[in-house]
Formats: sequence, structure tokens, C-alpha cells
Amino acid sequence: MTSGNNLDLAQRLALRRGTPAAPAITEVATEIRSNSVIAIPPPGPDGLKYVIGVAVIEWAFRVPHHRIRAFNAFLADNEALIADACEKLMRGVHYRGTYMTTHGERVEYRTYWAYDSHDAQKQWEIGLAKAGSNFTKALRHLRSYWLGDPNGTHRHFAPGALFAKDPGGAFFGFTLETAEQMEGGGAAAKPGRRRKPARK
Amino acid sequence: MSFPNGCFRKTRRLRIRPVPEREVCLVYTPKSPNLYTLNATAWVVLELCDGRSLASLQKAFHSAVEPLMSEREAAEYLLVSLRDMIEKSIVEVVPGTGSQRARPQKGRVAT
Repeated sequence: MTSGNNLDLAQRLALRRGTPAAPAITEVATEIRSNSVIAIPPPGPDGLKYVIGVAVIEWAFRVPHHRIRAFNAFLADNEALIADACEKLMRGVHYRGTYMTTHGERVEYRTYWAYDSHDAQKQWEIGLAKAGSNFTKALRHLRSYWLGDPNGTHRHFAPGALFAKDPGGAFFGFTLETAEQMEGGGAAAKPGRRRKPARK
Repeated sequence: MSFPNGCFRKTRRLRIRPVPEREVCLVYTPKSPNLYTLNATAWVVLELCDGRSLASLQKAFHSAVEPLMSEREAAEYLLVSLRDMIEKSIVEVVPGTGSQRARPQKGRVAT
């Protein structure tokens, strides 16, 4: 729409109700909606001491065969540095290794990060503060392999026990309730349920 | 006005989205990231800010709203709206060359 058309439209709307209203400009309050995101509840003080982490992140990626030797050598030279640097520079952030998985001839790597709390992920602002540090260089190199795979994934895990009291936020709770009502024949609609065929 | 020879124009990279069904337009200001809703009157003022001088703006705005508003009433609305839009980085004041390519100057709209 051209500016001229916009002016015509604005003028028409301004005069639509008679004498134009006083000019008004209001800020639109923006909000982040998380209807499809499951919120991770915080653990209790004594809970879940057996888990890998309250939040676990997995990078899955494939490495071309011609780079596998180099990547494994990189891991051998740098993993201990990455792991120790996480412990020294950040609180609640742990590197748990990069694993090579095989499915026949398909080679895939999985890198695991564990966090003591959901908020511990903010510690990266401290850990990555020095762009030229050995830790940052090593991490950038590791991440470059993940970036090199267009099908690489980045998944978040949280212990299921955390969701026993809080299902994971209001919307996910609503989703579970709806599913339970459907299963129990409650008031909600029952889309997708199979009906028994009528006997002839 | 503190810029007697100044001209008024939309700030660079301003995004305007008409929402005629609600009789408003939405404006996004990348310079100082914010989203605003302008009612139709403010929207008319904004659309007129194409590098015109204040005198030209006053004349154009009055002709857009006459005969429902007098020149004085229209001028008051215009000044209120311009002040608000400059404060919110929706409109900027540039030296009075009449060109939309002129460089912006810092300043405020005085009464």
C-alpha cells in the first residue's frame, strides 16, 4: 500500500465518526507466549540427587567420514579442558561428554550438558565472556561440528519426576486435563475416538 | 517550535501496518525498539510527515479534518501529536530543505 493510499485511508477513518478524536499513541505491551512450551518446575532442596541434571541438553549431529578422525582427536585433546573449565568458570553447568554412536555405517555424535537448575543456563554469559580464551576456542570448535550438520538437533530433557506436582505450566496442564477427559469420557469433545461398528 | 525551519519526516526504517478494521495503525520503531498503536487522527499526522515544514503540515492537517475542526483546534492536535511522535522516535525533525534525504537533527518540539 502506498503512502498516498495510507493517507486516504487514515483520513477516511479519522472522519468516520464525525469530529476526529484527539490523537493518541499507545505502546503495545508485548508478551512471550509459551502455549507449546513445557515449563520445567524447580526441584525441591533434597530431590533428584540421582539424576544427570535437572536440565540436560543433547546435541546430536553427524560428522562426515573424512572428518571423523580429526573430530575424535579434537575430543581427546579438548574434552577435559571443556569439562574442567565448566566447573571452574560456571556454577551448575557440567559437560558430560561427546559420544559416538553407530547405526551400521551411520556415525552420529551426541554431546550432553547437564545443569543443576534451569537458571544455570544463564551462566554461559560468564563462561563465554572471554572470546579468546582456550575454553571459548575449544567450545566454538566443538559447536562448529554441530553447525556443520544441517540436520543436527538440540534437545532439552528434564526429569519426569519434576512434573509430578506441577505438570509443566498452565497450558500443558490444560492439555493433559483435556486428554484425560477425552480418555475418561468427560465433558470434552472426543475427536479421533474410534466408535465400535454397529452390529448388523 | 525549536526548529522554525525544520521539517518532519518518519524515522528511517519505520514500519507501518494499517489495521483498518480497528481504525488504527501499528508502528514499529527499530531505532528504539517498540510497537505502538496510533489512532486514526495520529495516523493522519504521521502520513503527512513526509519532509514537510510545520506550516505545510498545519495546512495539510487542517485540510484533512476541516470543516469539523478549526485551524486552531487542528494546530493543537498536530502539535500534541508531533511532540509525542518525536519523543517516541516515530517522527524526526530534519533541517528545512524540504528534502526527505536531509540529515536529522537532535531537538524537541516546544510549545
